[in-house]
Amino acid sequence: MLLSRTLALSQPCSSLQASRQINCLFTCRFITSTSSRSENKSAQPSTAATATANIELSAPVTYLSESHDPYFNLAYEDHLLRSTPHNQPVLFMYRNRPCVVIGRNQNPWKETTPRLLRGESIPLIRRRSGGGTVYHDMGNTNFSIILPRLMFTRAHGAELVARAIREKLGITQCGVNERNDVIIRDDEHEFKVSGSAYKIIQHRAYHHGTMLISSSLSELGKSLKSSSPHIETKGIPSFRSPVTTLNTYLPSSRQGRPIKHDEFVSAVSHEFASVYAGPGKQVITYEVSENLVREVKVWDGVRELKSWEWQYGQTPEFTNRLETVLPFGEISASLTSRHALITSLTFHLTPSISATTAETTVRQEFLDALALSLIGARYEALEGADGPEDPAYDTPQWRELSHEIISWLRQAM
Amino acid sequence: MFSVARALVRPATSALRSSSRVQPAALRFSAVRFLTTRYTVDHEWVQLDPATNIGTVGITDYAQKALGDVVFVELPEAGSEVAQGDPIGAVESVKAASDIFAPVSGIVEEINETLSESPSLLNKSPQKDGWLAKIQLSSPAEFEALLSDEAYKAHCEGSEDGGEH
Repeated sequence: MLLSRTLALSQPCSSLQASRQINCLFTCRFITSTSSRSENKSAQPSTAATATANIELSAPVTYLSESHDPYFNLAYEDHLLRSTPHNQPVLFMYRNRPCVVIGRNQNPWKETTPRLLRGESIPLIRRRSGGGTVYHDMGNTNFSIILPRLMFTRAHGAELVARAIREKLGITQCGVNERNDVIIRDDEHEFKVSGSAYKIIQHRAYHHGTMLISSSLSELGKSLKSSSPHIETKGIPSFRSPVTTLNTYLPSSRQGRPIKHDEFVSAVSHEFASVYAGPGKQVITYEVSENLVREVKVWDGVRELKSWEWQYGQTPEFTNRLETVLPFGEISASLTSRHALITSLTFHLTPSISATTAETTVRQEFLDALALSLIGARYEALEGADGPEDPAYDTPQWRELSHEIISWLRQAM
Repeated sequence: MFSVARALVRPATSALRSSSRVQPAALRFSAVRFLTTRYTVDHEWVQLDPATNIGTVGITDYAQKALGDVVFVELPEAGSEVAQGDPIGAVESVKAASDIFAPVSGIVEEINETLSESPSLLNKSPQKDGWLAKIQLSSPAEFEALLSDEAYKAHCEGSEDGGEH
């Protein structure tokens, strides 16, 4: 492994207390949750299939990323999940520049408006874990706890982080709710400060989560607005929860001194060490420098996360309905999509009063031909869409109408 | 926990049903005699019907228990060609994602459509009604190389490093 250097043995994060200045330019974020779907059932997993007492863990390792590139950090996290020894507890911590991260089985158009995010140059990334959509920025620190699959429980990582916040940062109202979210209790209210998700592979599993340290929560609404109210997805929808930041609940003992990234990292690292380090098992801490990482799999992972096939192509089947008004009537489009390709599309024309029946028939036939020509195209991009192939429609009027409808679809999808 | 008896009964009847025009008695005999279930280290099972060379694929009870309540299952398209080890689908269980891999190479003949509406079938009946797909094997040798019932049980018990067994 090509990592920059070993910081310290046994006292993993002491050097991090040092004065690395963190530039908190970006402070908005958002948390959603997806667990409500099965609220009538227990959100708890069944216990692991066999007893965990038999697993003997090796010395824990902590990786701290110096990169703020969300693609790199997510690819590196996946690399750690797959390449570290099966019985090694691993903690990985990182921050990302502003981006929106959707769950493995979510619909990007249902959670956000991808077109608007592209306009703002905010990356939209499909991660490999389940769960809902979150907004990341530099006021948010991500933690990832990788353990043997048999030791995986949803509560463990959340409890560890909540303990660190209570005991090391002094926010005594911090706890874990019945859905395993890290929350802050304020009288009868409960505010999420962390969104969690999990990934399970053959021998390993991780719990990763966001931690809202400092944020105005004002800009994020913009990033997480869908423009597609009629999308019905078979995938996982997000549910919004009231959120707050750690810095909103600073204990008076801090005299207004805000919690920063390094301090949170130190708190969680120490708590991680107190759980997994022991005699002969000292924590090793690595800083991960993006420009020193040579592992091909990490960069392959970055490429895959950026590919259309992963970002959009992994969208679960969905349907959508779109409507527009043209001079000769109203058009509604009903479509189905699989892997973000259009698998069926029907236009229905409701003619305006002035249109004759004959005109309407001709237009509906044209719309049917246009719909047919769009089957197989990528949702929203509609790459190569150029109207019906039938030469009968190769006239300026029909071509113009084709372009009008296609650009409406691109804007509305 | 898998029951050999249960594993034998279902495909036998389906073989009987699908080819009742021919000679059911003879088919039933051969099916019962040769049906075998094998397993992968990724906690999937394949049950091969030698009469059709079609393997029914699913996840094991062990896998199901570790996942918790399944809320979403995505399967490959019927007709698609898959190679052993390819990721062919996804499962999500209360914010936990896991992948489905093709345990054998071949053509996907059929998928279990009921899972899309009732993903919890994977919890209730992972090794029977919650089957994922039926694959027409292109390389039967791959099937033979998968884990036997005993080997898979040993894998589950001993798959973690450092365990005492």
